[in-house]
Amino acid sequence: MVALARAVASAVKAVEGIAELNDGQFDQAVTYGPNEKVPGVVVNFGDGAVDVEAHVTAQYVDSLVLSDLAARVRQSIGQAVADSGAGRLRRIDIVFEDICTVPDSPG
Amino acid sequence: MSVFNRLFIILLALVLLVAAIAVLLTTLHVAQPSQAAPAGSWFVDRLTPFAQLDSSLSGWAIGVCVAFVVVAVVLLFLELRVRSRARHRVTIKEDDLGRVTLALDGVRELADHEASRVVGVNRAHSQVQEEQEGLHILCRVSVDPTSNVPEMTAELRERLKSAVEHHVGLPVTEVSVEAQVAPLVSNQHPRRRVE
Repeated sequence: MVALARAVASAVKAVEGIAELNDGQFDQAVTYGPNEKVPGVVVNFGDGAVDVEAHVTAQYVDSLVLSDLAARVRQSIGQAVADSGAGRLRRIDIVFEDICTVPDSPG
Repeated sequence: MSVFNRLFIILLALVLLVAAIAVLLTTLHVAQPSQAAPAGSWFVDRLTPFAQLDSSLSGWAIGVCVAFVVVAVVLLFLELRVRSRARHRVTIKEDDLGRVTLALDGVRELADHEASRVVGVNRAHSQVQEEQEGLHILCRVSVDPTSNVPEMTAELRERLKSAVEHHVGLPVTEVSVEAQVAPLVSNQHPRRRVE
């Protein structure tokens, strides 16, 4: 489970417009594994299908449209789950925990 | 897993609270063991010795019970507060694949950012509420004293509405602006209000 969460986390962070994964100050969205945890990603298996929940901080830009960004994140997660061979992806919930309005520092 | 942990903590805190109060009432002789717990139950047998403690031991028992009550109340408060905060999200989109939500703090951050970009605004602090028809934004700003406040607040209202609707995709039904010359202080009432 934690391997899939790690793959999902990498896929989400690679999406342009995502500032970071965010485990939620109050909701504790974390996947735990032996000696490690993946903050911001919750993976659940059931009935041969996979449910994924990604908690993220969006990077503010003038062109930011959260529903479009969520669609890109979903696509990236879908690809990661398919590549992992973990099973059928049933549900992807995206939670924007915050919007980072501090510009990215160059480099 | 986190939901299970939370339920476990809430259940544990409730059990601790009930047990500590029952022991406390018994030790203080406010209630008999059979009154503090269901008659004939296992717990009555555990409570009976507390009704017969000498003064020094009863002092210890009372102290420990009060500590347990405080710990249980704090645990319950924290867990229930966490639950209520976690619900403060708006749904941007929901379809067969799942749900996309945004924390209200994110909308507030966005509103503060947009407000601070308006010329003459020194600092902004917004509050956002979700209502049935859409979002309601209350934006408090500290402004440059030389600026034209009515024009600025009109621009603020327009800018916040269009920016939040564009970025978040939810309708903004109302934007209220409270402007003041003095710097913003948390929980401070505005000196000057422009609607």
